[in-house]
Amino acid sequence: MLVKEIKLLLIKDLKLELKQSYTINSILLYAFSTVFISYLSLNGTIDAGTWNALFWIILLFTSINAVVKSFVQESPARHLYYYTLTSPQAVILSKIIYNSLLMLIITTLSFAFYLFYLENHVANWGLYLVTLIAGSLGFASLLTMVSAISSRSNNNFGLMAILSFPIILPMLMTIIKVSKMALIGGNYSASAWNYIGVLALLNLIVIIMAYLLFPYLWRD
Amino acid sequence: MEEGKLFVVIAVLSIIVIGLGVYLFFLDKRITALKKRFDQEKL
Amino acid sequence: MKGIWWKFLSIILLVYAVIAGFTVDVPDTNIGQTMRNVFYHVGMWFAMLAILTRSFIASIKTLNKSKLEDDIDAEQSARVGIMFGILGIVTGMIWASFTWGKPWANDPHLNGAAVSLMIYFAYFILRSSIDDEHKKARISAVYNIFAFVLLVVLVGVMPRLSENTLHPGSKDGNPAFGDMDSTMRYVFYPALVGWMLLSLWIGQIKVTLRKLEFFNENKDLR
Repeated sequence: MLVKEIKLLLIKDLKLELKQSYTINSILLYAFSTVFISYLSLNGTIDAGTWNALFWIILLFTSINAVVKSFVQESPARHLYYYTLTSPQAVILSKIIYNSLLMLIITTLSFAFYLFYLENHVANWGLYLVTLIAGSLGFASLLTMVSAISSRSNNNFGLMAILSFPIILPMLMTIIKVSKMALIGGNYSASAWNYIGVLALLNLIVIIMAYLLFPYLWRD
Repeated sequence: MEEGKLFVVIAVLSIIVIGLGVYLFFLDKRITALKKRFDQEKL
Repeated sequence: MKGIWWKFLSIILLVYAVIAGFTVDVPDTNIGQTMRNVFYHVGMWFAMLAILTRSFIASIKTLNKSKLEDDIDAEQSARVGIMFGILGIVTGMIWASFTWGKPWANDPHLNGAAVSLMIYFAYFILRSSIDDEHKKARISAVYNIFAFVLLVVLVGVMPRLSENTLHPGSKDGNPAFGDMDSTMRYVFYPALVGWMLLSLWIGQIKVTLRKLEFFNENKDLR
């Protein structure tokens, strides 16, 4: 029952996206401009640590911009309509899955831009790619929940950043720590995979909390 | 005494006591204001 | 007398912590006498976590029963938590400028402290942006629960993951109190309980006061 509802809502979101396709395009343009601005203003080589930190900061801001629209692009009346049709759990889970897919695309393309304009510092590709995937999935689920919270307030866009920065920090710090190990000159050790486990665990905690708490946000 | 820097401990403890004291002062002001309102309503 | 015994216990424990905290022998480490700070500075953090736990429980109650009383409880407890958090940061900065030579260092404990204050400031900004009282209660309760769980992960797990903490006594993975000897622990644990009870006491007063004020202003909302 739940799986079927999630599937239907997901297909609805994907169709809506393909029809308008402005979300993904505007986000990609955003990512591209940010990378290009950093390329122009850095004007030369940067060390591996800065390179890594800059990439994750760009990705964090891009993902906030991508996810903030999740709950406001459709009208409140439409939400009320969904409310009569489906369970809130299906809504939040479908949004998390949708945003995870969106984030995977955005991460891949912004990383490609980034590699193209600011040279490559990655030594251990396997670890770095796993970190990218784990990081973007983690960002997606946490930011989806925060955007659900901030969409209920009067100042959606401003609150999104304020609410998400402090609680995304555990995730961001783990990501930066583990991705540093995959760089050239970073001291890679087997403990890096423990950090990937921590990231997966954080993501799981966030999804469980979203599943439990979202019904209270939904009700009016 | 000097190399042990005991004065740091005293400074920290006095910060805590002063902090709690200021906090208590403002709490007291709010309670007094509330009591005044209750008294006025009774009259 | 019922329900007041723990307040006496708090006073007794804190008096004990102040007297014994200055007279107990501390082990000879490179931080000297300032090690006695552990009874007061670390106590602030435990007091903060105790009252924030109360706020967390009150938020769960808000969602379950949707009563404004529980929301007031959660909000005022968080305020007391911020007060203890600021005291913890200020006392830590005083200690750090005499021990490390600078008030702030890149250390997981300090970063955790800064983040927990940021979370609760964000909580109050969220509250002030919603007008309807019942909606405000529900939305902010959701954020409080969500943020508190991630905060526990941050302060409980993160310092253990990083190897390069500057905090004394953290080498065995135990945040902040690894290299105390057993006599110090006889002072330390009662001191922690004393501070935690004190924060709960202040929280209780603030919650009661705010409830009286609020329901006096809005008699219809009860």
